[in-house]
Amino acid sequence: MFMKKNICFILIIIISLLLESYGLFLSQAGYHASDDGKVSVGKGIARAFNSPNDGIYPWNLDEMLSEYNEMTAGIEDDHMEDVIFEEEDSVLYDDYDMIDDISGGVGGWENENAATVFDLLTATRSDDGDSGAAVDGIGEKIVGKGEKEYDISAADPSEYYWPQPWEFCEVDDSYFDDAVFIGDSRMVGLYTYGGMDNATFYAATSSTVYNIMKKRVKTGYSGTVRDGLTENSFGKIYIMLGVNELGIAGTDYYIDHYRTLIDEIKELQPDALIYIHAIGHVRGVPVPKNRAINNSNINEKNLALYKLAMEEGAVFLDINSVYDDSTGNLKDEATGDGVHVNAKHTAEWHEFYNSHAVTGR
Amino acid sequence: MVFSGFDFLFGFLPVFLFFYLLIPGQKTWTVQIKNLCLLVFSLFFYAYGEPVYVWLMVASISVNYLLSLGMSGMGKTVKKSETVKRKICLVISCIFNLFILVFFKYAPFVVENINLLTDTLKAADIISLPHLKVPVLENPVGISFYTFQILSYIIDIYKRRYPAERNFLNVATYIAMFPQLIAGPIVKFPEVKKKLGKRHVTALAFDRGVKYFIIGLAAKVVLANRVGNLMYDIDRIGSDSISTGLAWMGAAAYSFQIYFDFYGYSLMAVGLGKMLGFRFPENFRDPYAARSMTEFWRRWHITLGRWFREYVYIPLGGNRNGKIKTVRNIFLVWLLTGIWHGAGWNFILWGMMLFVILITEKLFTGSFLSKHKIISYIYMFILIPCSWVFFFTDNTEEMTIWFTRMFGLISVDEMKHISTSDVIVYGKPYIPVLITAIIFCIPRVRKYVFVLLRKKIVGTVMCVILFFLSVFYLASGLENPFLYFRF
Repeated sequence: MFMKKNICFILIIIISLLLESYGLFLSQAGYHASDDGKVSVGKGIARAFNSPNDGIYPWNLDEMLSEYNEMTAGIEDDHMEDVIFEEEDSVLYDDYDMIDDISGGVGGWENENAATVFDLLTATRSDDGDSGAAVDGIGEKIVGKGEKEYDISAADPSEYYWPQPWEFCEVDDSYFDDAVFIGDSRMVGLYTYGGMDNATFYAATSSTVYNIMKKRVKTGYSGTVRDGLTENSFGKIYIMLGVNELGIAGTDYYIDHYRTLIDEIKELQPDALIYIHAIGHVRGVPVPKNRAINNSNINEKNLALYKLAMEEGAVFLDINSVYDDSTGNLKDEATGDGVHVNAKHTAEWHEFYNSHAVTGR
Repeated sequence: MVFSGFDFLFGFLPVFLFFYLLIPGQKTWTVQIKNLCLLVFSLFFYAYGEPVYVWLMVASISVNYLLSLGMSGMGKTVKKSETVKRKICLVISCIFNLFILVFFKYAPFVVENINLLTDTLKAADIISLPHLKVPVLENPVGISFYTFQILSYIIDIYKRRYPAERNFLNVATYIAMFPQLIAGPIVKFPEVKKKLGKRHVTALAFDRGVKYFIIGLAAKVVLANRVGNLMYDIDRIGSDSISTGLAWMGAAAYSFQIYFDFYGYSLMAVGLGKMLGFRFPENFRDPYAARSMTEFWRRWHITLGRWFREYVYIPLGGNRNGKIKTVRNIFLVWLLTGIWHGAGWNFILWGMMLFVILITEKLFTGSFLSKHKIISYIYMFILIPCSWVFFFTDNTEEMTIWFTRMFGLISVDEMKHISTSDVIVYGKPYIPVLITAIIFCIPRVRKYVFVLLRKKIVGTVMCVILFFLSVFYLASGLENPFLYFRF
């Protein structure tokens, strides 16, 4: 009697239990990108509820994997940069002409010694032999066109020293009139409490490099980030993403998508100067409930981000110089939940932008 | 193990029900096997979260069982030796139970304060005493609940309300039953005594039980956890940087969170009880529709209020020995209620503050409130969030910050890092959940939900949808930013 009356309910329960078991079984495979960029199967039913185009779905991976695998076929890990640079050069050769035309060939650098972004784009590599890489995985120098040499292997995260082919200078707030700040919930915090009222903010919580362009902006613009970048024109673009991707995939997968994002932004805003942020540190004592949110994970990604920034001709900003304590973790008084900077301490962030601007573009 | 976790929902519960429902319950000896099954699984349930403290609970049950036997005997024997024996058993039992409760839950707090006192004395050059040290032990889950349940059993036996249960299995099952073990209603022994002897799970009862369980799960996961995220966000900004509007939103969000969380959990316990063949008492009766604090505390955490009334207030004389003694009794009850809720000065302050409000109502404002409906609703609307502020802030600094923000007493200096648009940036996403929460606080709506679930088709469909919604939220971690990186 019981069975007959409630057969539907029982069937639904049984089916849902089966689905859940399948999901749990799938989640055993885990979701991670190993360092060769190959991503394994999705993370169970939970991921089924993400947007289909988050870049997390298995069906998108095949295309991306095949491209990447083609590009890297036969090349060992040590020489990955060869592949990337070749692609860059061939693509940018055309861009260089176009950019030159647009800017009228006029340099206009205020600081003569600073290399232009174009220098970087057409840089040749100098093989000085073993430069004694201070940083793992980065083992080369880059020589700018204006003979200003900077050694990316000399980067020292613990000193917040990231050599770049330009000097930072002080600017006042009018510099941000044509600036746009793109990012995740940390950027939303800057929008609300940073006092940067003349700048535009395209920030939304839960943003990642995979979904940022499609995200509806929560900071004063109605539309998606892509809409905003298509409709308006900006001189400077500040990007801060990374904390939401910590537990999702490996560094290479993340950097790949960041590169795609930057390329798209360059297409939409060819004249803008791009600033890439290092991922901000979190509190040292484990942030609640998730093991992947930790500073060694973040530091690994920051190195790769720096390299990406240098390849793409973007300025690399390390906000951690403002908020770190002596042990390299986010300082306690600046945070409530261990991940975000609280409202009281956002003023220093604003000042950081004022003192870390690149002019002449 | 929590009821709203996948290991319980899809692991423990199906396996347990499979075995439990197979065992028939009509004959007295088969019921014993059913009880044994329930006990074993309940111990596993507890041990899953507390592999060491489960033995503490077993020890507590055993000791109290033996002492209860020492007190048994319903007859009106007036033999002096017997009376003395009963008294001794009662005293030992109370001391034992309160000792383990104090030791595991309150010792660090007590010792910390003793050390503070020692320090002050040393600083004032009165006397120099060494610091006390206490090992920092983890607080065993549910100890407040099962200890109180045991105490109610022991005290009832001493008062000769019923004879001590001779069957150890029944006593153990009564106390350790997993639905009401962790945070469940404090059940009195007569409420389950008959069922322990013989019970039969009817299909209807099981069906109702499942539906109650699902409603409770949805209340917890879909409402409570989500609305509670606003407090995470306020934490993120820093509570001293919130505007008045956001402060009120936050306090309201916390009020809803604590209500739906606790109510949901109690509903899940009641539902599970039904599935097992028991009838547990209800713990909440639309508290946010109350018109005075007195009424509120008759509708909130009913089983706790009932415990304090029966075992503290009435034995002390209740309200029968004149106004002063009544006030003293109420004071003691609220002091103990505050302490029961947690080991911290903020809880004691909370209890005392409630005492002041209740006494005021009893002596002065009570009749006024009962005559003026709208004023009483406004009064409660302001009072409830404010009372919860005492509950969730654990130091005076935080408390002051919250109250100054809520009542707009902010200095010009502090205004600098408060953004007036934070209600929109941080509060707007929560408006739908807050509205839903308010709607489900209305008694008529809540009762209608229960009417709906009795209907064959509509009830089932509604529960299935709620269940899937809850599982979805649990799986995708939407209710918890730290779980799936929703920064």
